Amino acid sequence: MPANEFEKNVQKVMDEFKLHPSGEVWQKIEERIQEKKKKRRVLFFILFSCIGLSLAGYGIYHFGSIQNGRVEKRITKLEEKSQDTRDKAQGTRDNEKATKDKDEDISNKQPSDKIIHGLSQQKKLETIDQVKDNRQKKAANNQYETTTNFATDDLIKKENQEKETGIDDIKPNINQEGISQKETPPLKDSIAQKIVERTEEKNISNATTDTSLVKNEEKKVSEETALVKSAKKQDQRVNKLKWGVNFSAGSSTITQERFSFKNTAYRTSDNLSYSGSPSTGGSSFRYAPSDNKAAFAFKAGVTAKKNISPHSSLELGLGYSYMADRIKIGNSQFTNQSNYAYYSAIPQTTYTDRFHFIELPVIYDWRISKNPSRFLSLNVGASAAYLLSSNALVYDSTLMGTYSYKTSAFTKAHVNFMSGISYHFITSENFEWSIGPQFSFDISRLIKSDVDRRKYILYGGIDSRLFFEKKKKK
Amino acid sequence: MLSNHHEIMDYYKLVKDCLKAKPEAQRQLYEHFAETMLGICYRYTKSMKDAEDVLQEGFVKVFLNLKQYRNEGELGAWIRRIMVTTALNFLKRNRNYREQMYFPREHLHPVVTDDPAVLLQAKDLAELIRQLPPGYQTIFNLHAIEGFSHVEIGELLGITDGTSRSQYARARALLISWLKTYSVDHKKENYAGK
Repeated sequence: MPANEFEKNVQKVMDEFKLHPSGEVWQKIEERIQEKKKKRRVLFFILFSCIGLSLAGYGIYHFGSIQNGRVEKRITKLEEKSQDTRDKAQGTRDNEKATKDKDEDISNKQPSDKIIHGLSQQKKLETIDQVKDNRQKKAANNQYETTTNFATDDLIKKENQEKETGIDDIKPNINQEGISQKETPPLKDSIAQKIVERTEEKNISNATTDTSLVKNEEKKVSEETALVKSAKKQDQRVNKLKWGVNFSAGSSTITQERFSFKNTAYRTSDNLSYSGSPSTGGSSFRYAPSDNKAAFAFKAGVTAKKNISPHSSLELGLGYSYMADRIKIGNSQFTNQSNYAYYSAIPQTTYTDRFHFIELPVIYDWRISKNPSRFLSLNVGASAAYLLSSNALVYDSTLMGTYSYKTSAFTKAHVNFMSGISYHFITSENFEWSIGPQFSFDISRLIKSDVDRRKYILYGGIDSRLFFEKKKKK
Repeated sequence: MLSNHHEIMDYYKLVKDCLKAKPEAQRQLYEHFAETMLGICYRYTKSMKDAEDVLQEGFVKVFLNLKQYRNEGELGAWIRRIMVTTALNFLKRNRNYREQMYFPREHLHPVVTDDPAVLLQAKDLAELIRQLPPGYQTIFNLHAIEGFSHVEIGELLGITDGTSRSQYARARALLISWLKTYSVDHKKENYAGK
C-alpha cells in the first residue's frame, strides 16, 4: 500500500476528479440493459417451456405406465384365479360323476333287499347288513378317491375327537381304506359306521354344493376377466396419445386488474385541466386516455392429449393467439427518427391494438359425467406465451396526452391461466370432438407504463378441439 | 471519496428500486456516480471516447449484477471496483493499448525518495498520468490511487509483483520529474505574471 506523502497527495487530488459524461452514454446503457433483459426473458421463456414440456411428458409416461401395470397385474391375478377355479371345477365334476356311478350301483342293488324279503329274518338281517356294509365301503372308497381333502379333514377332525374320547382303533382302518384304495376291512364299530355314514352324506352334499359354487365362481371370474380384458383393450386405445387441432374464437380486452372481467375505464377526473381547455390547448390541459373496448380475438394450434386416469387427461400444445383491444385516438402528430409514431389522445377514430403471441398451453381435463362417449369436462391450465409483435399504442401524459408506439413498452414473456367447460363427442373410434367456453387470464403485466392503466389481457371465447388417433396399419 | 450529496442518499432504497428494474432509479443511480466513475475511467484510457466506452460497459455490468451487491460495503466502492476491472479488461481487449502494455522484467529501477507536493489541479494531474506509457499508467493508477498492493496488481495483470514494483518505481520517477518541471514552469509563470 502506498504510504508515502506523494501517493497520499495524489490520491487526495484524484478523489476530487470528476468529468461529466455525454448524454449518449446513458442512452446506450439503457438500450443495452433492455437488450440483456429481453435476451434473459427469451432464455427463461425457452427454459420454462422446456421444463414444463418435460414434466408434462414425464407425467404422461409415468401415469400411463402405472395404469398399464395395474391392468396387467389385475389380469394376471384373475387368470390365475380362473385357472384354479377351472381345476377345482374339473375335480368337482369328476367327483359328481363318481358319486352318480355309486348311486347307480347302490340303486341297482336295492331290489336285492326286496328279493330277500321272504327269507328268514336272520338271513334277511345279515343280507341287509352286508348290503349296507358294501354300500358304506364303496361310498367311503369313492369319497376318499374324489374328495380326499374334505373327507380327510373331517375324518382327522373326528379322529382327533375320538382320540380325545379314547377310541383309537378307527384310524388305521379308515386311513388304510382311504389312502390305499384297497377293500376296506369290515367296520365293526357302530361309532365308526356312523362316522363313515356322516362323512358320506357330508361329502355328497359338499360335492353338490361345491359344484354349483365353483360353477358360479368360474362364471364370475370369466366374466370379470372378460371385462378387464375389454377394459384393457379400451385403455390401450384410450391411453394412446391423441393428436389434435384446436381453434378458439371470441373477444379480448385489457383489464386493469388480474382476473377481472372489466375493461379499463377512465374517470372524468383523468381529463386534467388546470388553466387551459381543449380548444385553447396549452400545456395545462391534457386529454385523458381512451376507454378500451373488447375486440375480436382467436387462438389456433396443435395439441397432444393423453389420458392419465379414466376420468382425466392432460393436453400439451403449441399455438398462435391473436389478441386485441380497441381504443379511441386522434390524428397522427408526427413520426420522429426513432420510429415513434405519436397520436393525439383526442377521441376521434377507433384504433385496434393487435397482439400476436406464440404460446405453449398445458391443460388438465377432468371428466365430470359418466358416459364415456359423450361427456362434459372441466378444464384448467396454464400457458407460457411470448409476444411476437404488436402495433399497440401506449398512452403518455405528455404533449396534452398522446398515444405512441414503442416496442419496449410491452412485456414480451407472459403467463396465462385458463379455465373452461367443454362437451366431448367421441364420434367414432378415431375421432373426438369437444366444444365449450374458455377464459384465459394473463397474469403478466402487458404494458409497463403506469400512466397507461391497461395491464392484463383477458380472453373469452368458444374453444373447439378435434382429436384423432392414428390408425394401426394392418 | 464521494460527495456529501451521495452519502445522504438512501442507497438501500435506490438499489432495491434498481433491482425492481425501475428506470427512474437506474437513472438516478447513474447520475449520482457517473461523474466520479468517468474520472476513474479517464485516468486509465487515452481518450474521452474510450473512457466513456468503459463507463458505459461498467454501468451495464453494475445494473446487471446489482443483485450481487448486498448492502454490506459502500456502494460507491463497489461500483468503483467494477469500473477498474472493466477498464483493465478494456485495455487488454483493445489492440492499441494491448500492444503498448508490455511489462519488461527490469530489476534495476530508479529510486526517488522525494515526496514532492502535488500542487496541480485534479484535471492537470490526471492529464499528466495519462501522458505516462500505458503500462506505467495502469500500474501507477492501480497502486498509487486505487491502493492495490503489488501482489494484487501482479494477479490482475498477470505479471510478477517484482515487475509491478519496478514499473511503478519508473512511473513514479517519471511523474515526479514532470511534476518538478511543471512546478518550476508554474513558478516562472507566476513570477512573470507578477
